[in-house]
Amino acid sequence: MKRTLKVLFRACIAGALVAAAGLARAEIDVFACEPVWGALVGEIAGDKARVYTATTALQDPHRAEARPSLLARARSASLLVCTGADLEVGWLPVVLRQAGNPRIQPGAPGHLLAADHVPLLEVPKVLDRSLGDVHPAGNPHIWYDPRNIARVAAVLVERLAAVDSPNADSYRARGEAFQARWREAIASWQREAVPLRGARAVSYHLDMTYLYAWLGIVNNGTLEPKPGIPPAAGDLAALLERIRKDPPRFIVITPFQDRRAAEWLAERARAPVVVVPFTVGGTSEAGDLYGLFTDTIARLLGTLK
Amino acid sequence: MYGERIFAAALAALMVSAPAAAVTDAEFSELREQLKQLKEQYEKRIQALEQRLGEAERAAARAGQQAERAEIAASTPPPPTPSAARAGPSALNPEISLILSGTYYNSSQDPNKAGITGFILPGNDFKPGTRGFSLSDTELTISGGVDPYFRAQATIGVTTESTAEIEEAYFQTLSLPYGLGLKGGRYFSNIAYLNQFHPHAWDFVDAPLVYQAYWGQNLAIDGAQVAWVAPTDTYVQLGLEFGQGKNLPGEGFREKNGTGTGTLYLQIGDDIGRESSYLAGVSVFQTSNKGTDGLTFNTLDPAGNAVQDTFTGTTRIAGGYFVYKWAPNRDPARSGLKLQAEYYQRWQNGDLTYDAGNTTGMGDVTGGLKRRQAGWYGQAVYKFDPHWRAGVRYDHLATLSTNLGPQLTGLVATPGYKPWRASAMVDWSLTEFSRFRLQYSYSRALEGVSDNQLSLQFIMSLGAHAAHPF
Repeated sequence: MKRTLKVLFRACIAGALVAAAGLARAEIDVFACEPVWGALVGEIAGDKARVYTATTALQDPHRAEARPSLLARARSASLLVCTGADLEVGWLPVVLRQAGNPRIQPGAPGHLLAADHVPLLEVPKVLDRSLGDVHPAGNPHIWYDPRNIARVAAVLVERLAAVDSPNADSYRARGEAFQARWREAIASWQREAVPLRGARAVSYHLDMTYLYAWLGIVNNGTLEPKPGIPPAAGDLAALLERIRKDPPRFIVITPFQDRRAAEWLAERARAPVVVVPFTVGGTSEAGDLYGLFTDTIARLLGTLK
Repeated sequence: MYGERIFAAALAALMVSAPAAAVTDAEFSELREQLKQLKEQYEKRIQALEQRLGEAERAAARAGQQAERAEIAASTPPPPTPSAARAGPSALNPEISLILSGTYYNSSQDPNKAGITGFILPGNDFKPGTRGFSLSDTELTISGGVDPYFRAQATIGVTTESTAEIEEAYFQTLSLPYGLGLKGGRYFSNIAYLNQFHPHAWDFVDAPLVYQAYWGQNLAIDGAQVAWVAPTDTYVQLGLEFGQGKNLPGEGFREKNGTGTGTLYLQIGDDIGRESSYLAGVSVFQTSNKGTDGLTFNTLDPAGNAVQDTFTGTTRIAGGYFVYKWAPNRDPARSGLKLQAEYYQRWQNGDLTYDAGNTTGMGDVTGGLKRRQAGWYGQAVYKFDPHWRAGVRYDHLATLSTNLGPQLTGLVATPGYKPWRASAMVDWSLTEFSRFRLQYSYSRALEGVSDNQLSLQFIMSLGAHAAHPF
């Protein structure tokens, strides 16, 4: 046991030295749970931050796992930017617990949950799992409304300035420039998307809520019978029956959702399936935040022709 | 607008046509004058109306633009944080989750006479299942933040005999710097991979044979754990555990200063490409029960007598594991593969007392014991549908060497048998909160006995959404 202790002691010393070397690096490490927040940090921090994104656009962020690589990246992060509202409830708590990093724990300035800073929609009045995998705080897919991204950006600027005060001026300047560009982009998207106003849509999961609310699209149902429950044949038939009178203009799904279910309904309801990027990287055109919304609107408009 | 014009024209036509025949020229020209005036009046009014409508339309458009600008402008300052918090005394309640689990078990051999030759002998605690319907442990987990610096969790298992057992109850630090973490209380050891999971999170109904042979379902330690995560992009965790050594493979009861067990472990893990990840670990565990009453266990002597032997000495377990997970685009919602293997050796070095109670008349004989054993299992679980998974597992144990003191020769059995078991399972989960599992095992754990074991199990998770380690 004595020998083991000695080995451990040496390992700790070595680790402390490595850690000190890490601190000397100029850029800060940022841990983003979803690509959209990784991209936003990139917009505001530029080369001042090294961003690690925990999930990809081809992955359901709710079903991700606490992979070892996430623990390692969370260990060195100065700032964690996630969606919150229980979207990452299945894995983020484990990452936070095992990372041994007080800077990103809840309550610290390095712990930023986007959903805490925007008005949430679809806050359930009744909390019961018999209603499916409900999110008690409200619908967590907040990033699909660019006005929410602007709100989070404003908070992000201050958090970056807090965790990396030497570069605070740079973050604030870049933040202001981003807000100005983003305002223009929103105005232009809103003009483009006018024909979508009032269009009825079916989605796979209740994950388009914020996009609908922004563009005035009408929710005509989801393929999932209840949140988080994959549709069976009977569920699809029941949905088809329900929407027969007022068929949707399009069926909108994300890159990681089951296309077969959407196509089954599309064929019978005579509405096209449109795969929207959903987050940065979801399609080749959605390479950044601007591309995410430009491509989403272009794809939705494409179905109206 | 057009309606108004048509109405005017029709009115004019009526006035003109009907009385036309009866009127004089003077009257006619007067009428025409009046009509002309009427027409002019109408046109003026129509023009005025059109103008007003146009103005209204332009105003509406301006208002719309202003609204749009206001909408965008509103997005800039962050709004006050919406309150998702509950109110009242329950607002600070910890997270509570309840696991219900039950099994139907069918076997060709009496589970009360089951054992693992050379490791656990019949009549001891080892039992592969309870025949017929039975409720497995009902698990209640309560966890939450204590304050900004600590988090605590307790898992209480209620056994089928309605006795409660504290499976885990520990605090852990959240605020230590440099990747350090401290855990204290009763916790599942990091000696092995599957050991950190409660039975409801396992992929098979029962624990691997090597776990059951060395420490039972889960090795829980009453003590402390210090862990350190290296500041590298590859995950490296080094940990040290100290404990009382009360549970198997310790001595059962111990009340002494100092520590009874120690574990040193190292975990390494990372992603492989875009779709896979791995976690590997090595560990050394040691427990000593020298100078105490020792570990007493039921066994059979070579003549077949049931006796109680006592072991005092040192038990060391060392080994490692490898876990590999693959899922298309790393999204395990619809399909994925999990491969997992663990290998551990056990060294026992000390004194064995044969038949300490001397029930055979030849008993209370003490001699040296030096024994080396090994055990491993490998399993693969494949998710082929959002609801369905199938898996296979193979267990193998072996006694590699046994050296007995001359006093014990002929009194203590030294079997050379290698126990094994093969299992297959399929499980069905409608959601991530419910699961039904069917498992078949062919067990050759006891020499000369083959056992066909069939289990049907349900697992229901209520309450707080669980977060599981990799």
